[in-house]
Amino acid sequence: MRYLPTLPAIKSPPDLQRLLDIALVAALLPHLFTLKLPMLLYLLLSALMLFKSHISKMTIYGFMLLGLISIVLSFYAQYNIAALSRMLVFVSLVVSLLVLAVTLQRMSRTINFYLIFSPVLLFILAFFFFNTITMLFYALSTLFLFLLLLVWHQMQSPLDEALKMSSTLFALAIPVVVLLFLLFPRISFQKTTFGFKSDEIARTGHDGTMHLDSKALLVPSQRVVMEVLFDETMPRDDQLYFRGSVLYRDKVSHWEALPAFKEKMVNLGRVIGAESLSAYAVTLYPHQRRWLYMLDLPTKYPKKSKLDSNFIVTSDVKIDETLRYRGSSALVYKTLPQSSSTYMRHALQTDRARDPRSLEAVEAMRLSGLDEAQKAKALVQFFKAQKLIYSLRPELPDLGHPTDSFLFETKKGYCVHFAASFANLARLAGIPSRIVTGYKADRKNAIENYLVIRESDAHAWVELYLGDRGWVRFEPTALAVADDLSAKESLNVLINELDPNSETTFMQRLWHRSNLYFMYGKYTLEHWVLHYSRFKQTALFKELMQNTMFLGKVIGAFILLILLSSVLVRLLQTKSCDDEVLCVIRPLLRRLKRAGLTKTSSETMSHFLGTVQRAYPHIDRLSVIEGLYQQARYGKASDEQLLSSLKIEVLYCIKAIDKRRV
Amino acid sequence: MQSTPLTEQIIAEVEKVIRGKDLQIKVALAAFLSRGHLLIDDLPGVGKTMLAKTLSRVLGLSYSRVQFTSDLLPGDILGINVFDRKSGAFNFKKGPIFSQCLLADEINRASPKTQSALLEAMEEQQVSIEGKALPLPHPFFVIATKNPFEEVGTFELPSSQLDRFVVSLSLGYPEHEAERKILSAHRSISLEELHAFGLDEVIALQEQCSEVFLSEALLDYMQSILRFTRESGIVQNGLSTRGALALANLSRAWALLEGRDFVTPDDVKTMLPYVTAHRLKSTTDKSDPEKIADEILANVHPDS
Repeated sequence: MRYLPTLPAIKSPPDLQRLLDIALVAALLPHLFTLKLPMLLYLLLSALMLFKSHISKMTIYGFMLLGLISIVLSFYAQYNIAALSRMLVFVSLVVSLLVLAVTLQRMSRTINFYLIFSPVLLFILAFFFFNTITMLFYALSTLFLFLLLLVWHQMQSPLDEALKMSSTLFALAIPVVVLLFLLFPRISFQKTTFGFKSDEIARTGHDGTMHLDSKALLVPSQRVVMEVLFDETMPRDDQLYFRGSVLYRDKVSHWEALPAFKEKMVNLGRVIGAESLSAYAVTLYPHQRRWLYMLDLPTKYPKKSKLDSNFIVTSDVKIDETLRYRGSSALVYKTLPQSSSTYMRHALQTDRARDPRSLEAVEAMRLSGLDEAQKAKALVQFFKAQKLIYSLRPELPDLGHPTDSFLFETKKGYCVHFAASFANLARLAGIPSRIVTGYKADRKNAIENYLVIRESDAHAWVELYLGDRGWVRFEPTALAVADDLSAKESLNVLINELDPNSETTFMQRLWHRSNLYFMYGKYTLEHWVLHYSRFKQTALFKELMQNTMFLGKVIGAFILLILLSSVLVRLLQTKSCDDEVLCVIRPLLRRLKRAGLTKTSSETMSHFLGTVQRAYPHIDRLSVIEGLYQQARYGKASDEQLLSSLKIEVLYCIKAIDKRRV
Repeated sequence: MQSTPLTEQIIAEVEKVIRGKDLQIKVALAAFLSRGHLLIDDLPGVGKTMLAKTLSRVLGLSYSRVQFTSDLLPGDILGINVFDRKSGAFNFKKGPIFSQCLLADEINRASPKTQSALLEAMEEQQVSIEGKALPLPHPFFVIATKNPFEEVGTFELPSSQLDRFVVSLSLGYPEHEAERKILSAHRSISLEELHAFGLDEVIALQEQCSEVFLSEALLDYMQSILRFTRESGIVQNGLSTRGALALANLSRAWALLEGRDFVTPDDVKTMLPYVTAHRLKSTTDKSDPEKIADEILANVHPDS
């Protein structure tokens, strides 16, 4: 036909080579993240060669040489072999060689079995490198694409029919895939959890020091630090303290931890009341440091990490990839007397001349005869009496006398100022004190047993050493008498450090809640699908054997899945309209309706088309449409040929109507 | 598709004599092709007889004409047994009905008995005389004309008889232009000057007509029309099955005349008034029988 020269392309699939190109591009996509620059350049060059109509043998040899050089360059200059496990080097080498072979084969323009198989091979190899949600979606869509291309090629049918067919196949496969998935868990490569690069951004909320100066100006970020899934019920809000670091040294502008030194490991039997144990699984996103945040007070911690006498768990290696670990903590605990005198000395270190008004106030309390607990109680009362105000945008305290400045002058601050002043006040009163920084989670960010911890949850609190009761947690921030609402609004974020009644709009709450559900879904998917390993399989099967209720639920869910997939298949196979001739002409009727010409039901098509002809005298093919339509709808044998020519005429007609509009 | 020229040639030939009546000629031809009989219902002097004569001439049919009067007897049409003295036996003398095209002029002037003799012969395609069945020639095409009832001395045809005519046609006065041409013509063309088509060709056309395809969708459409006439209550009696068959066959013939080998809803719509005009009587409005067809079409839609 003289119009619509591209239509045949929609009708039948492109040749096998084009289909293969599509499959190859899809399969190569994740490898672009792993291939090094020389290989990428080589790929780009060979892709450009595909546009050339003729490629000489010499060019192919040239490219072979070029490819080999690129591989050598990649592995010689770029790969740090020591940093990667041997298998990954091997796999990336295989990928590079495969890319070389595929490009050379593709340039020679002959299709053999090996070329047809290569997209699948490349696709499978990608699993060695990536293990994230993105990868899951990529894998599903690529599988579908492969299936579609195959069906399209085999059926030699229009794309929409191939699409329908492959969707049907996909829907039919769902229950089988789920069953196979349950029976054959993923191979768990500890080293292969790299993820796409965007997943690996360093996250820094808590950084091991606590600043009181302008560096401390809080920019609460909503970025997720970690996700926690509790085995049983979630602890109370006032128990959700995740320890990050313990700070002893008051450096006026900031507090810092003691440098690591060799110490005798203390006995870890500090737990009282085993019922207060809480076990949980943590997904910690890379923060490029070593802290493994654990709930106060860790009792069980993952391998390849250690627990120090400040109850801080640190990993043996830098956390530069998403880390999943299990742990358990005692929610109610009592620490044994501190064994190391070094810590004690530092916990009492204070410059008594720096904050004269605070010293005066502490002395006025006449604490000398009292025990530590009573002293602490008096301090809390005094702190409360200062009527301090919580504000995320406070005036900075005068660093010449920061405690005085905060307590008696500015009276505004956030957790950092509260903790620093309280700790210093305690030291002035002779109570050993230290500041703990980390994250204080909020149950507003939880769904059932799932909890999200964000940068904005970063917090600082104080621990006082109360003689035989050991280290006891104090929350000086809670002693604030009021919130500075204007400062909060200017930040326009949800403040989790504050009381739960903080005023937020409905939309904010809705957004917060839906975001949380989204994260929960993502986490569940990661937890149960991506990280479904042999261990989880064993646990699952054991549960199935023991728990009849659970077994029933699983079987029920499986039946539901089969039903769902058959419904999906049924839906795919129902035609959008039952009369295929009407289906073909409907676009034209719709277009005409928009143009103001509506066919009434009492009108016959030819009468209506006559009306259209009068409205659009320049369209010369309406009578052809009428003839074809009647032939197809009322004629003896309505065949595909007739319908497709009607389709073409309809498209032409719509174009003609559009043209007149312009 | 190849039949298009032939049917068009036939119409062109007829038009040489009957001017300005394209539609009526076509309908009359459709009635012939569907092997039905034609009833022309109109005032005298508008060309009823002329149409019948011309059609039979062009279609190459043997033609005879009977002027119906109140004293016409059945035997005058069918024929009578005549005693032959030489052989000493009764010989059957065929009446005018034994021709391929019979023009029954002013059929409503004859007595009901005579009328029914003709109509039975039309239906049976044969004549029974004293127990002997004599087949009528093939093709057999009756064109009956009928004066409006207001004329004096007419017997109204019962509706059961009317049903046997596939089409009822009304010619009406010619258009202004056409009439002027008739008046200005120096002489009228004599029928002998017209080209008569071969009987074989005409019979082949009838065969072709019966093979025109009627799709399921259109059968649905026709049945809904039937149901509407029977159930809606706008007419006294609904369309009979014979009437429905007439509609189907006429639609086929019309499709053939339009050059198609399948029927479309438009064919059905075009033919419906000719089928209903003499069959259906309105319960409310007596004036115009065509309004019934309009009302049916406004209420029953083909699904396209």
